Amino acid sequence: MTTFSTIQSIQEAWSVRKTGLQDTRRQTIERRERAINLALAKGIPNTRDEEWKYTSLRPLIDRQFDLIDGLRHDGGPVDGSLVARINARLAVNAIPIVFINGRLDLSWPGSEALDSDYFRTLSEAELEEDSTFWDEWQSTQGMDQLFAGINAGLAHEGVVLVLNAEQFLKRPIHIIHLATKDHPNAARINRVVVSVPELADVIVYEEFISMDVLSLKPRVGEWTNSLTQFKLGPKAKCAYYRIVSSPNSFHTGSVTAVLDRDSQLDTFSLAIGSRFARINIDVKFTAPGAECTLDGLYLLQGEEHVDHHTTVDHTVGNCKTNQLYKGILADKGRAVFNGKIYLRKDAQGSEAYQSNKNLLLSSEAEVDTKPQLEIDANDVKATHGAAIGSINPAELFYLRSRCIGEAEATAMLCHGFAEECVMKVKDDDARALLRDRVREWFKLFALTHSPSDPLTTKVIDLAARKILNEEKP
Amino acid sequence: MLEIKNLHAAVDGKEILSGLNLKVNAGEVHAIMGPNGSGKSTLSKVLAGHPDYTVSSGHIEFEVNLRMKNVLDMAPEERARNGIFLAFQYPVEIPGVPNSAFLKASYNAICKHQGAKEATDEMFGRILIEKCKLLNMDEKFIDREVNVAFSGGEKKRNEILQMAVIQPRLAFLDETDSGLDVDSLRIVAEGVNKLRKKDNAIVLVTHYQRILNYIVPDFVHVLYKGRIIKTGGKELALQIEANGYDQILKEFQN
Repeated sequence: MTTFSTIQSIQEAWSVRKTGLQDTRRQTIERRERAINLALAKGIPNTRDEEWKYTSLRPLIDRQFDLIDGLRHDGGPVDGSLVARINARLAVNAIPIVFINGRLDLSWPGSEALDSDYFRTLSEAELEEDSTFWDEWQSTQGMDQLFAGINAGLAHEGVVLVLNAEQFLKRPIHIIHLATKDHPNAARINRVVVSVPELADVIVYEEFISMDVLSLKPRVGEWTNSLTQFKLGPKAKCAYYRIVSSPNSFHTGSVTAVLDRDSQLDTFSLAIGSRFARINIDVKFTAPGAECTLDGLYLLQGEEHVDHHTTVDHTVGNCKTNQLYKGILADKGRAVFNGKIYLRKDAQGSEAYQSNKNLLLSSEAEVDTKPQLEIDANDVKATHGAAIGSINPAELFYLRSRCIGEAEATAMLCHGFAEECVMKVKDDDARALLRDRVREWFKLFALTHSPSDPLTTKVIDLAARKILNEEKP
Repeated sequence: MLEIKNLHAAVDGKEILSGLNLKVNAGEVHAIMGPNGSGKSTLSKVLAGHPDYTVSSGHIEFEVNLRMKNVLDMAPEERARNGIFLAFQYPVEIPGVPNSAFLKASYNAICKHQGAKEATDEMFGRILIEKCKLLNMDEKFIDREVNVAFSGGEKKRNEILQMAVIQPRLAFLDETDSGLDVDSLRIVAEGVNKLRKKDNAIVLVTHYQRILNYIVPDFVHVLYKGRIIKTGGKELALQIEANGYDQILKEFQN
């Protein structure tokens, strides 16, 4: 058991990991050590740190976790019903890459379709690639942050997708990080790097789930510390759909992306239920003409806490950022949104649109939102805004005047609120999958709420039960 | 089918309706006219059960299964399910909710209320297409979000589409004609006429005589300071159009 509460304990975890890396290249060990040291240089942040003002690390660092070792899943063949349940969640036509409690299972049914032409494991790529390959990933914006650094240092296995120029992956890649109750206190540290060179095109799903989704008493309380990195070449295209649905888990996720000329990155971060989640997304434009969509949705109940920190850096001109983050908060749910967009002095002709909207269903829910647009260029188009509100009474009355009962009307408005964000997703399959996960949240809500809850909760609860009933065969 | 007796109603503590009486029978068309601030929209909202309006005295009764029932005891959705429909002066935009899902929820709420089998997506799709044809409406209405980015005319037509789906016994149209150009007005009015039956009734709340050329009223009422001060036939609307309210108000004040 290890805690991650002090610099010393993280260094100890590193020395354990280092021992396990004896067979790899010396430069890999040095690079990992540099990453750890860079991350630890700033110390462990507390709430006096502006970046951590509304999210205390206490709940995370007070706990003890098992640092998972061993690269591959070694638990023998996986239970067939589990395979069926997980594969039923895959995006249409997607190739699965499944981690079970942090260990990669390459014998997962469906994974055989992966092609070594573009796919390697992290351990393979660390042996094969020299330091120039890895230094590029290491120098990315956001890599000086604590959790990104811990990942770069301690990651025990991961996924390296390097496409060829002009390669178009027809089948999406669906990475599943599965937590089971076999390792309820696992610290899962997995890294994903995706290189999409000139004119290449790929769709990546990354989903963090515990088998407790839809369980009344979630038991899996693992910690996931993920790092997912993208590098887009000229005119490259990539869509990244990120889903966290593990009700009792701790999650620290870092996403970095570097965008070359005329490339396009579409991202969607869906966070459904986490005891503690901090998600950092850092995007940097390095050449003109690129576009980035940053959309997100967080649905919280109980005492869940989800914090999104996004940063988009326009260092060059004529790039475009479009960001919509929305959240529904029930009970004592707590969300943080901090969205920074920098339009540097050379970012002439850039466009940046940012919006964060929150729907509070309980007086005890809390959201801290900080849209932050910093403009040093004079020829740009930029807007930003944030809103926090409850169910709109005019909308509720309109639906009720059309025969729809209060509970159902409330549910329609909540769904509509979430849907406004989901419907922006252009890919039909991705949109359907995200919709499905949103419905899952409503179901979870019904299962975890008793009718004795306060009115607002009861109303949505009734609505959620209606969905459950509808879905019974 | 509708009887309003000595109705007093207020919003934000201010009394707007001060002893209003109105009786509407099946098959009739009524028009309610009146200067700005006379209480026309308040009457519509009180009837539909808007939570911002409070009734201090008087009552509203509506015939349900041949019995007069107290409307004021009913939640807004119960009033609607029992056959009272309000076409909004300013229809509300509901982002993220498709018109089809909204209309299906309305339709099925009534089915359930009446003990009928609820429609599946497929069945309801056919019903909607039929309603669109009846009202000469583009089927693209169905897939759009409720009233979002609709023009003024489209919003009003969407109200009539809802009316066609719900098939109310009493339709209260609150300034459905305002903000419409001549063509839109004709389309909306034709839509309403197609939905008229001998066992349902229509109340038009309007500023202008214009719509009454298309939907001819049996009675015209003048509302002033929260009460109906004069009732006449369709010629009363023409008289108001020609001379304004001054003469009627003078008669009333004397």
